[in-house]
Amino acid sequence: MAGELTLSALSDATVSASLHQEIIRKLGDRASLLMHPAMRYLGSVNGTGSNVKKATLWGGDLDAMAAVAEGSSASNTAITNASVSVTVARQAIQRSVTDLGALTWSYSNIESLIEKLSSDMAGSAKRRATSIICDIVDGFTLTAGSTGVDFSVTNWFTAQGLLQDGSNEGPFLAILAPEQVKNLQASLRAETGPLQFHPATPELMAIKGQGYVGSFMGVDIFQSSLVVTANAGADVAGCMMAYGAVSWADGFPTPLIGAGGIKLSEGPFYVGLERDESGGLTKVVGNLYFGAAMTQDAMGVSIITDAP
Amino acid sequence: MAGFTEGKSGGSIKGQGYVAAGAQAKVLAVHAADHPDFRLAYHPRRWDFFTDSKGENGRWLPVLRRIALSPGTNNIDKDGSKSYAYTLLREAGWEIIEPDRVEVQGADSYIQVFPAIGGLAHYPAWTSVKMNGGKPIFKTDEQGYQNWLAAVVEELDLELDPDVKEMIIARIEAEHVADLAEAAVNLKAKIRAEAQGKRLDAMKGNVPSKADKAKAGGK
Repeated sequence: MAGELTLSALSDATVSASLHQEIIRKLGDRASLLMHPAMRYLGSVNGTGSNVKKATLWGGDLDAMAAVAEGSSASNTAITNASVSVTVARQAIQRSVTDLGALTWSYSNIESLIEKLSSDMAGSAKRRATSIICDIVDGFTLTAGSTGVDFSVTNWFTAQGLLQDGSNEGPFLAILAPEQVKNLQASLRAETGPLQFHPATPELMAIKGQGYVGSFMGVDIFQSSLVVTANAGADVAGCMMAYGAVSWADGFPTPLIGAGGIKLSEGPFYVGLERDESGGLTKVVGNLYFGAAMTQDAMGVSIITDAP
Repeated sequence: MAGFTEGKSGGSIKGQGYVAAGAQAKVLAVHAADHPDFRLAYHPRRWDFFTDSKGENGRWLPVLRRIALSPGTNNIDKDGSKSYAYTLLREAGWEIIEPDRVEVQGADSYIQVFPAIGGLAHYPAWTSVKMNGGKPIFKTDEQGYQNWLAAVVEELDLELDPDVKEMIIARIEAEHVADLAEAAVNLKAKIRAEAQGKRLDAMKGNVPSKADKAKAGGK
């Protein structure tokens, strides 16, 4: 029979696709080391006169007394001290949205496009901070693992032992590439006895943040795809470190009264809004003033093992 | 976010525009900010025993570190200035190797760049990339890199300190013993121990450092 009202025939009354009213997050690495308790916070550079934050490493109590013969005078002992510097620099990301794009945004009942882009910048800031930290932890002079050889539980104990040899007190944190976590887990499968890997639970992840994959021998394990490669990509370079082995500092711009902007609650980020009426554009600019550096070389061990 | 170089002309950051996904992508599907410009650096305590893919032809070579030249990272300044960062690194015993210091076969420097999301992504010269189904596949010319490292050792007159070599061998030996102890009940430990044993023999037996050569010549 002709003249049926098919989907095609109803083309003027239908749409090609309808939008689900929930934004599903695209798969990706959202692990964050920003403000992780293992990183030592040196403070803000606001009002200090410099974008470099310096901290003293004091070793006066590490020089032992020596026996002095009766009647003799003691001689001076110089104090062993050092310092760590962290230089803060601007990290930023910008998006420009046309009015047409913003007003047709179909999730407006949840949040406007501007609000969505602004809140996403917290993720961008965390990713940047994590990338900077991963760029630092491959540089400890103590190393564990061998080039071209998969990471194993034996290397793990070597790294932990090296930290303990250096008088590092726990807790320790391991920052590993996904390949290293995978190799460690595979290596642990064959272990017998009391060795136990404690995988992350949703409750622990909520406390310790995304990226936490579990703990082993009392050491928390943080996984990130931002862990850098070594040896021209043949290896990956994670680390095991004592708390405080990496220091960071930040700054926070004072928002101008009357200028549009949003202070995000998840950390030291500020999102500024800039309006271009002529172009019908809204610029959304996320800013993070951040820097990180190695505090003390002997507080960490770089784990350099085979890449996938 | 990307490190923003303050004060440089053209320093306005670009908006993060739409990048075509899939097989038609014209840029690498990686973020440029995650792959900043870098320099390689040498430290006398970081050496390892490199072999070919069959585990043969081993030689002692330095394990270089990558210094990211990204403002805010390891004291790289807001305008990209490296001087303070380099001063601190040198005080800690690192030697920076500039990209054109030692010749790289078929290239001007040990850095190559690819268009990526948000700018240029920097990779070592021995990394090759191909796009497959919209996703990058990275491969490393490991032999080429090891040959370059050998040239670095020669050119910069680097020498593996015998005490450092002993420390590294002692560390590997301790791991070997630990795996041997587990070998009876743990097949993976047994396989590791066998491979590690061969590696240890090669580490102890061959490619003497310059100090070893000097001692041999002095007999």
